[in-house]
Amino acid sequence: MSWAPILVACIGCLALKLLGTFMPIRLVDHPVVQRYVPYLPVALLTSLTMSSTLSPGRPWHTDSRVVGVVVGAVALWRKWPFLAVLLLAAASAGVAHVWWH
Amino acid sequence: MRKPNIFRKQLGRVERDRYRLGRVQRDSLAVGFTVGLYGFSFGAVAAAAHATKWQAVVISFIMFSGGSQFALVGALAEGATPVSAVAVALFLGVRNALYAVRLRPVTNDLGLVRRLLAGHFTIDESTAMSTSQSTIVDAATAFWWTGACLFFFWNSFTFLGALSGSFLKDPATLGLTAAAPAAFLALLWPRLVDRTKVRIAATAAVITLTLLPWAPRGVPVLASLAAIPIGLNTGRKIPSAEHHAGSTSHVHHDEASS
Repeated sequence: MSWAPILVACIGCLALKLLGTFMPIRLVDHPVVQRYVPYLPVALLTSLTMSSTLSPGRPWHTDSRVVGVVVGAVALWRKWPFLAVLLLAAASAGVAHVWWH
Repeated sequence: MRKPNIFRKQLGRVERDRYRLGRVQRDSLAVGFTVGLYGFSFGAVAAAAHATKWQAVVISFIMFSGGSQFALVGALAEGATPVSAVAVALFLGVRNALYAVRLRPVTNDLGLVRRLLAGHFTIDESTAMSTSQSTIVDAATAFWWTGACLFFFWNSFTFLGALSGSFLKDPATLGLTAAAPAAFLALLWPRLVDRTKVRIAATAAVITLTLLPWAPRGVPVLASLAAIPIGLNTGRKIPSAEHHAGSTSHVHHDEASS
């Protein structure tokens, strides 16, 4: 993995935090920003979940990751703690992978 | 003769404060440790995505924002262009700027070094813990304790996770390829607290599934941002909806994620 995007993203994310800490409040506290920014994580995390579970194919390529994510969703629905969700998702995907190959 | 008196008075106040703040410090430490544990999974996922252990450590140390970290590593591993991978990580980091504004009452009067550090510690958990306190003293304590504990444990466990992950030959056999999507889902889950957010998530899902088969890597995720104006401007108009989406609600919603 190349360092350039890693460093740019790291410095950019840090700069965003410092922007909020040091900028005059009026510039960051704009109504348009206040209206849209709270929803950024919902849209992006939904999309990231989908696009890291499925790969491009016809129409989508599915593999053991789908099993892991579905099991993870059940664990989340049962209100299991974060790490348990990840371990369960990984374990079930691992089993599914070995079983299919 | 007055000096010892004042000293004793101050000591008394400090002791009372320490007793009163014990609960806040304990809660903050608990949040810092449990969320920090999850840095292990970031380290392992990064290693599975062929990042070196030092790359994983640098990301946790400088970026220090879970969603952005998983997004960057996940996108690069999937073969997204570096520009779109960076863009997704930055878009996920924008909310931290708003958190930092919320925390200004706590950070405004600090010196430069402490303010820089406070900026760096500004994330979901430290903001949620701080803004849920009722006094400014407790808010400051909760912010620093949560931020510092989480920073320490998150980075320590990232290193351990990256170390363990670098021994793996085939990440798919251990199911690690499913850890990143499960992590995204787990970060998303506690945020789906109202109709508007569910509507935005559903719209984002449709956009992503539609674009995924043919658009370049990383593009579907950026395109999903269109779901926000679509989700906000469709559906039943409730008079209080505007107010609900406004300035103070988001921090408290994110509290659920910690």
